[in-house]
Amino acid sequence: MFWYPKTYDVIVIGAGHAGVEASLAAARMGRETLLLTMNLDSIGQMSCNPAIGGLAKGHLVREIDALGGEMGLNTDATGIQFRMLNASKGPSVRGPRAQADKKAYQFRLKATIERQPCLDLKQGSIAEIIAPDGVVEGVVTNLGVGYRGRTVVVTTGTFLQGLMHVGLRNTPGGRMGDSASGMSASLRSLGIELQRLKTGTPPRLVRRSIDFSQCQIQPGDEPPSLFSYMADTITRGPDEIFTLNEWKGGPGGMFHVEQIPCWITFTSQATHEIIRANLDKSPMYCGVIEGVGPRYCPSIEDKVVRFADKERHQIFLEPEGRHTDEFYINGCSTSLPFEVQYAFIRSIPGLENAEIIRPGYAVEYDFAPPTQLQPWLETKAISGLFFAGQINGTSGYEEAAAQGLMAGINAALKTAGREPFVLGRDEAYIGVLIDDLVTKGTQEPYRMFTSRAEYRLILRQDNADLRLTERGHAIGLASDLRVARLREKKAGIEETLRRLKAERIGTEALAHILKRPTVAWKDLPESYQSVPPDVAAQVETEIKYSGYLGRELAQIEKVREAENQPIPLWLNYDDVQGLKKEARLKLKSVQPKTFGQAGRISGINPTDVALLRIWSKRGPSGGGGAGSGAGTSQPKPDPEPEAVR
Amino acid sequence: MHSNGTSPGDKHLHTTMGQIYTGRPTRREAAEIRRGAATAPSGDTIVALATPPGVSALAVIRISGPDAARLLGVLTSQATAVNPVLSVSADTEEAAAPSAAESGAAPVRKPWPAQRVRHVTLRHKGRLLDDVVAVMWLRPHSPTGEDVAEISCHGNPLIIKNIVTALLELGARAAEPGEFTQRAFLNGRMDLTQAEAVLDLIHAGTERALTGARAMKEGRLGRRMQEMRTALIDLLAHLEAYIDFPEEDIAPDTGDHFFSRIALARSEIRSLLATAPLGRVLREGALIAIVGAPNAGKSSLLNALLRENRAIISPTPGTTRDYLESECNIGGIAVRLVDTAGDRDTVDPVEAEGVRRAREIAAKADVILHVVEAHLPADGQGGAADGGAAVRLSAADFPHAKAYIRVANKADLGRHPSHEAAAAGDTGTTTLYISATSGEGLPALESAIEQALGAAKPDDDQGWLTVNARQEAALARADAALQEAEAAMREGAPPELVSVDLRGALHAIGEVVGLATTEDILDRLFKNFCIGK
Repeated sequence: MFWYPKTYDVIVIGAGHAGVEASLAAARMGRETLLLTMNLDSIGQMSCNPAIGGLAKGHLVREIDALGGEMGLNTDATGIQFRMLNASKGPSVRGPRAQADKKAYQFRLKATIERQPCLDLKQGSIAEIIAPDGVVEGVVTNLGVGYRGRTVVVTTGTFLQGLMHVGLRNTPGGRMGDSASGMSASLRSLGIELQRLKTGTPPRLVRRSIDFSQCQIQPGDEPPSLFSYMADTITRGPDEIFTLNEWKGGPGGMFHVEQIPCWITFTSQATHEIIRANLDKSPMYCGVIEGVGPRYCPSIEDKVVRFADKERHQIFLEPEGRHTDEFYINGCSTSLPFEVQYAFIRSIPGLENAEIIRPGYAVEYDFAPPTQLQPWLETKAISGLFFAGQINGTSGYEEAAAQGLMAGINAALKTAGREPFVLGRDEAYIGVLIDDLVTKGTQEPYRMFTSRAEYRLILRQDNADLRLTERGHAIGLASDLRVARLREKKAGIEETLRRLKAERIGTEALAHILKRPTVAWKDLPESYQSVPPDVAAQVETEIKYSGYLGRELAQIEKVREAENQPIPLWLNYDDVQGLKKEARLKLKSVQPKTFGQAGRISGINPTDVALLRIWSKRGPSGGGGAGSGAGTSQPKPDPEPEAVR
Repeated sequence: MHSNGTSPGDKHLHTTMGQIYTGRPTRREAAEIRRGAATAPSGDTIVALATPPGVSALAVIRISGPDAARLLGVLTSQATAVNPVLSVSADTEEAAAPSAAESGAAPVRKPWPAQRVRHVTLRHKGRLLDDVVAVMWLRPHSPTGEDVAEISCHGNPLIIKNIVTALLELGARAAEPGEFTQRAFLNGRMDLTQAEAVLDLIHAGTERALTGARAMKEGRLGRRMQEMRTALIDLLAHLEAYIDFPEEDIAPDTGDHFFSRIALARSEIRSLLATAPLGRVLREGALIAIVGAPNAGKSSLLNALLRENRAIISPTPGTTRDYLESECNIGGIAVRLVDTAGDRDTVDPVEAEGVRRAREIAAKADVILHVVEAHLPADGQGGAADGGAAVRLSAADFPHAKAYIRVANKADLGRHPSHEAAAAGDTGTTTLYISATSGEGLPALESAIEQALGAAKPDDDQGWLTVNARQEAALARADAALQEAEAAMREGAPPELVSVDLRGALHAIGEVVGLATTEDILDRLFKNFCIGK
């Protein structure tokens, strides 16, 4: 075997949405980084629909951007349609979404990676992770090339033992046209438990075979709603043919993008009949597929069976790019045999003559239940081994990218000997995502929803920079320019708020007037109309939501207080009865200072923390158990009965 | 064999163990503990005496945890059926098959049959402990959701101590107060209301308190909360689907359906909240103060009420009683009757102290019985012969009492017409005429007391299901949150704000039964809506 002469700080396996963010973050933080992928031509590929963002997912992209990640910028530069979802609802539940040019997105990203200092990009299929004594040392490719690395980030997507199904035929592979990864055995030998999940994708059609006159048009927003707080830095160099959109005119200028519409049609009764008649040929329904699929992205078979009373289901026709005629048929993910796909597609209005150019399929793959991870995405089993993306049981490019970013950051911090970077549930959707994964695990591919965030009003897509950019800067990822801008915006918000509270119409402060549901920013005096829109939006939300925001902040404060409550020094873990032996040993060795810290120790579960809290309330002489003192425990004055029946 | 363990049992166990068990395991014990821990998925194994200490015919020792079967197995490993005729299980005889023992090989033992009673001898380190009746439940179908063993031994404190000590030496640990119930809750065998009802059930001092506790123990409150929760989760799931899936053309649920659901939940919550005062007197008993001028017949009334309603059990054990106070059962409620010193202005310091304390107690009382003399005029009470002027009392003197009842005693001596006007002067009260000596009017007085305590109810189980203070607080929060949700929706607030209030309500309701929420909303959402492109 050949050992490559260079030793890396961070090795990232896989160049999907997770791997790209992981490798860029680590390299931008100055760590020597290697990105390994099975195929250099499919970096950052959108294996399913050619779109980024949406509700909660758009929030994730904004957060990735605010921390200094790449997904937002790359989407802005290669998007072909931009929309703000839920524009009619409140600011906290609006989500930006964009169709991207699939190939432009990939190739622009590849160039970004190639030009990134400290980052080496290489093709290679990993056969084994080397980790003697529970500490990662490097990886070995199937060609027998070894790369030494102090940390390894695994982002294998659907490729681990990937098995694709079309009807009752199946072939190994993580994506149609690509092979599967055989790294599962190596992971198992390191003590990682693996389980199966399933996901699916719909057929693709060619543009000229679609009758758009029978479909509703869905245009993009004007002006486009963008992802990146730095979108005005996107410019197109002479040879940057994959940068489709750019900012022109400097400050006060505008974003130039030519948008392409999507189209909407609906399934028919005939569609449902064809599907019902062929369920015996669906691997999902005859037990061939063992993996669990996502409920929020059901196959068309599922929709027809589980929601039999629904007369029709929406189908979105989404262009895959500017320079291709391929259309993604959103809403009919399927694993039915090709001939059934052919028949049911042609039963949909507008698609009577549609030509399928790629069939839909289901894919089953291995994932590692994420409860095996620390909150900073390092595996508990192997020091220096990090997991991100679908291997952790998630679904979606944005969820993958968010984890990739955090894994890359934490691998980089670890090699620099710094503390892990963990975001709280009250700080970011990224925090909610990772906390859910590592504490609860998941039974299906995990997708982010705004309803998962208990502090939804505070975690808005419009204030991701205010929440996270300083933190991204502190770990050396967000650029100086980014943070300078943020500070300017912050100052603007404070100044405008101050003015609104001070200035009055009659006896009423402007802030008070703006709070009325019927009053909008444009109703304010002329001098406020020149306030930058992003500042005005923050101020308006701050004022209009203030009652509810105050309640959420109070709640956060309460939780934090509980988190930061110190564990009394007199508490002797040997006295706390009911603690498992393992928990007792961990607590004794770590000696956590607060209850929150105790809860974050691996192997300490919420019940253990509850026990510590109960015990600490009894006070130093409040009567321990049989183990306290010389064993002369005091009876409680009025103990509860222990009987149950 | 029902192990309604009481607190004295714990006390006894703790002190006994304190003298014997140092808490430092020997090497052999440590090995036992580790072996236990290796197979222990959920914590350690606990043991406690479940019956009161002292000499009795039988005592029950209870073991719960992953090691319960092994511990019982060790103690019975040399067991032979004491009396095959008594042995309920046929397996005992097979287990003690003499052939295996005779051949010198380790006896082939069948695992202890679950949910079966056996009569066996317990031995430890070669020493006979006792012959006992034992039963084993295997998880999850056990009282705590873990493996549970129950040993009924002879009720000799020495025998109990020896058996418990043997179990501790084998790796069990003395249970904390309430730990069996706690485990049952944590293992999902009961919800929080049921866990709380265990305590109510054990301490219930009257039939009605018992009925209420049993209803809650059966999960009736839990079920009502679950139904309400389900309805609110439905509302929230719809709201969240509308928020999170804007492209799925889901129509918002903002109309009459929404408001009628909220109204329904609120009326249910308020009907439960209304049971809180009764719940308090059922659990803690009620305090009734008898006040009035000297010689009005307060002590006679006290004695008459006591004769009719013997106290069965004290609801607050260990309460210091002074000579003024007695207990009885009125309307299914444990009542503390306090005969206060005659209320009048006095210069005698001893008597003044008595009066002061009487006023203090009267101020805390749930019900005031103001005794006057029926045959004397309303404004001529207290007797002219009395040196001090009798103080004129009225309902206004007892602002904290739930009820003020004017009792005209000595009605057998005649009824002075001025009492009607005097009672009418006290808003909303009437005068009840009684005779403590003849018993006349006592039943009417009792039902008036019952009424005042909220205990005048049809005798069905539902009527006695009451919420406790913790549940009351959570329900009040739920009601306030629902009110805000309703207001927000009416004002046309965006859905994510209505959601905050609804979640608050759901959280508070979940608190009553001890449940979390987010995943439940999502589960419902996916079940009810065809989501996803």
